Amino acid sequence: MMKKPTKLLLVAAALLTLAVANAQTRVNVWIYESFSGNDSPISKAAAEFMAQNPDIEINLIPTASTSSAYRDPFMVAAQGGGGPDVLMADIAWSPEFAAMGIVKDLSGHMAGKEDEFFPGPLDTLRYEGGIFGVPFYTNALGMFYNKTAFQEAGLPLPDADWTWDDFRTAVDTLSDGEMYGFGLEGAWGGTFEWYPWFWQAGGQLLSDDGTTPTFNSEAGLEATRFFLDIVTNPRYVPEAAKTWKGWAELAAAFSNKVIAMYEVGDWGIAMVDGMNPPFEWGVAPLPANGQRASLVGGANWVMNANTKVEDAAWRWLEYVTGPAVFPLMDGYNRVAARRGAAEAQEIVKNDPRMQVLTASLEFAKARPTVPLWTTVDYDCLQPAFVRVILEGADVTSEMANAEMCALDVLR
Amino acid sequence: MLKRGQEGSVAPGATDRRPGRLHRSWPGYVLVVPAMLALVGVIGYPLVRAFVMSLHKIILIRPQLGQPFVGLENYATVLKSPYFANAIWQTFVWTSVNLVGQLVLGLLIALLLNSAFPGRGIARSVMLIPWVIPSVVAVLTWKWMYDGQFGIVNSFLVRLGLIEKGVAWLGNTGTAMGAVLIESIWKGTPFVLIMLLAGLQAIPAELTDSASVDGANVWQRFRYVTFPFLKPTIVIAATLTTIYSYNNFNAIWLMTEGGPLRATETLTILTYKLAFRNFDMGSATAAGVLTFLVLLVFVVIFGRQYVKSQMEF
Amino acid sequence: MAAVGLRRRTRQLPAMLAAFLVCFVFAIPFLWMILTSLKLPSELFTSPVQVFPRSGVYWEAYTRIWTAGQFGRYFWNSTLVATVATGASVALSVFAAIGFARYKVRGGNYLLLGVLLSQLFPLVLLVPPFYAVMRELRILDTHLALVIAYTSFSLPFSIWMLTGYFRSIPAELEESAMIDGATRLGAQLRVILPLAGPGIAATVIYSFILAWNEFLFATTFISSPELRTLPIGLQSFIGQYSTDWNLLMAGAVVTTVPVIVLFVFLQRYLVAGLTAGAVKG
Repeated sequence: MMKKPTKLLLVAAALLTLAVANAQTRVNVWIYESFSGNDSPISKAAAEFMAQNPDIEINLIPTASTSSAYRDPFMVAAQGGGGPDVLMADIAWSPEFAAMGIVKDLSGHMAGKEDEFFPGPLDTLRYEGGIFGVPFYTNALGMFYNKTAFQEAGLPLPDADWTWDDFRTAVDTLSDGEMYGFGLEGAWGGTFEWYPWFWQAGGQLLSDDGTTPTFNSEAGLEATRFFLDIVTNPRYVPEAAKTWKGWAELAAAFSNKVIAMYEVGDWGIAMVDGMNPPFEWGVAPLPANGQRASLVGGANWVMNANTKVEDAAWRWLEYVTGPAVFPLMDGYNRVAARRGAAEAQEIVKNDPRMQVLTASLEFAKARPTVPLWTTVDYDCLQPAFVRVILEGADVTSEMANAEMCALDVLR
Repeated sequence: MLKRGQEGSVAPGATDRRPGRLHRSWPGYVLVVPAMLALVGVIGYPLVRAFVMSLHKIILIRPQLGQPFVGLENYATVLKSPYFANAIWQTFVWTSVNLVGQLVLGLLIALLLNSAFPGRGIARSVMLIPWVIPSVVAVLTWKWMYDGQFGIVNSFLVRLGLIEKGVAWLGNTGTAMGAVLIESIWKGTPFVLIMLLAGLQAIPAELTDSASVDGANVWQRFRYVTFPFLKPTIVIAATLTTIYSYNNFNAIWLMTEGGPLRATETLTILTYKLAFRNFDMGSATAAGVLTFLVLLVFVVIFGRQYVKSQMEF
Repeated sequence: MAAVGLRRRTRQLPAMLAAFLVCFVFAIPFLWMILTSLKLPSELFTSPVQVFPRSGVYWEAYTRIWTAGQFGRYFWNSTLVATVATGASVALSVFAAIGFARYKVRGGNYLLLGVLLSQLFPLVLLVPPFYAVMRELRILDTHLALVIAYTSFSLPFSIWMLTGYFRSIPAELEESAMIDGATRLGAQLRVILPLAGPGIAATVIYSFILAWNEFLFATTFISSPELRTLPIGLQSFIGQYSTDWNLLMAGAVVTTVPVIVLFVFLQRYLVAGLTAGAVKG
């Protein structure tokens, strides 16, 4: 039997909770600028959510999504005690945020929900036993190819079974002096496009404990030699690719028949379509080498460690990554990182090109989720690749250099 | 008359008209203090904080380490890094070419636009455009113009027959620095131009007139009349151009990110990378302080000229 | 009379041609921006390069920027912030420059040198401590934060420029004004300001453009969309995967032109007659 005062206190507490719950809780949400606009799908989703949860106000704040306008300001703000409550974040930023302690460990909330998401995107949120966000959308790299050029050259069209040798033959045949067989984002040494080839050869980037680089292996050398042999051939890849680092240049080069193939994900479809290429084109999975692989990209939701409205923020995340995410992502031509996306999303059902890319998600991998991997990529792998491309350096010795460098960074 | 100007002991246009004695009263301090307070509060305080950070080990992605005091360890780390030596060299090239390019171009154009001709006002306004264009957009436009496939620079050079096919100017170690420098000189020259134009206005017209009556040619008029008067302004312009080029981040970052192979990695770029890519705030601020010290040497050399000329009052 | 005018014209012709050529070369990137903004999106990246719009002029970018974002709002915000910061900076630096130029301030020249030192530290590193200060002052996400930052960052240049300028103006002029019964400061302001036209004009232009184009602080301190300034607005056309070149270029043109027009009016003060004449008199 409770004593009277305790009971009274309990009632008061309950009333107080009710009162607080009745006041609107405002959740500040950063979204990528490209997701914004009047009547954008996400503002409709927010309106729907607020109709269901009248106690919560979702304040969408579209922010330019380049690293210097999005990642850096969030880092500064969160470390200075401010910033939005929740935000979309590139999967490559998630481990950095987690390690800095500026986003919340959501493993409590995520308990029992892990199976609802694709494992690849979810892995990008795991850090030291915690789960530091919720997967939002995902994508995998495939190969865009100029179908007309393939047919005119008498080449078989790439299908799910094509191999490295088929790819090399195609590049060689299609590079006819007018057109180049292949194009890539060379400003970064092409490491972004290289990852899948590395995994297809059976390579592993890091030891399981995430502390030792293991990319300088037999498999690593095989893949890197194969890949850079093509990239360094001035007949196969245009000189201009050395400075390309945006997808627009590649889409334009592809649509203008400068390059016959390039690696890209689902975001490339609308870009190429928008340029009305005067030829037929298609999407193939990346060529295999005994095994298949692709690279996972996409975005997660993360929650600012400073937030004072965790419960409301979580309810929004739960909603926006729940079943409502399928129609939402249809509106953006993206694939949700939630299981069942391929079956539930109209854009996948209606577009065979999307189906190829979605099927590639099955074997797509994420880059290592140690927070310094970006640094290893920028400071070790890229210089090695660029030295091979610009100075004709030897792949074997450059991979050894990159390994030393990575050891130093990860120490 | 000309001799006196040559001593360069003056602010713009003051040769034979020195201001009277300085007033030794308290209003001087009252006038100076508000601006100084703003500077100390808004820039000085963060500067001191950054300096304190440079004495601590601050690895943002290892918050569990805390932020222990490590004395000069960060400085040792930075100084030992081979990248630092490279960055010093790149910074030297970057700053000095910017300085010379902007000053020479700015001076020539200022002299041109200072002469009387119809449409002079329009010309002055047009010359200001590069400086007014928001730098992010200006840099991206240049990057595009340099593109090996879609760039107008290559298309133009090919048409002139100077090159056979497009060159990735920003993608080769030999050309990247030059290409970025051209953008930065283009963008910075109007600022120098404005300062020098303002300085030229302070030269009494009867001086140049009488010099030309005396039969002095264009070069002599410049050497013995214009230049001595303009010298203090040139010193200021040189000092500021040095500082702004040195600290220019956007141009290099958006075009090359310091690459390829660190061929355009100046101290500012290195500092940013340390802070936002390696998350090592301690080393980044240490590199910033070292940057500061290196630049200080330059400024003291230039600035002493200025201070010396002012001291003679 | 006509013959003299003609002779003068002929004498001016080389300078005019040279000026035209120089202006053209410097304006090429801007012309490229204008041409880009007027091309159809499908004509932007072509190989070989296509200089002029082929299938008609595409004006849509210039209407779309006003509807796509809140460009009108950004415009107003930038105008507000830049005007207030310029006003504050010019006022503070006029007083400081009079102090340096006309009064014996102990160590004044070294203080002047010290003013410059504040500019020697990489700006990117000042952002985190700056953020902390603004937070402690509780002015994050306000225009005041930007006004304070921009005022301080244009002060060193302005103080230097004006001190040099004021020192070149003879003090006797003020003394005669004081005999007329004005206070010393009043006399100084009344005499110096009109004479320092070019210096003040240069200062105004400098401060205004600094505030008009600044991105780093604006993007860190301002989070509410309705408080953003033009450079952040422009940044929003640069996407994660692709850049909307039409909008970016149209936006940049719209951002640049008003400042140039403003300068067309201001540059009068950089013209000889005003100062040289006055100093002579």
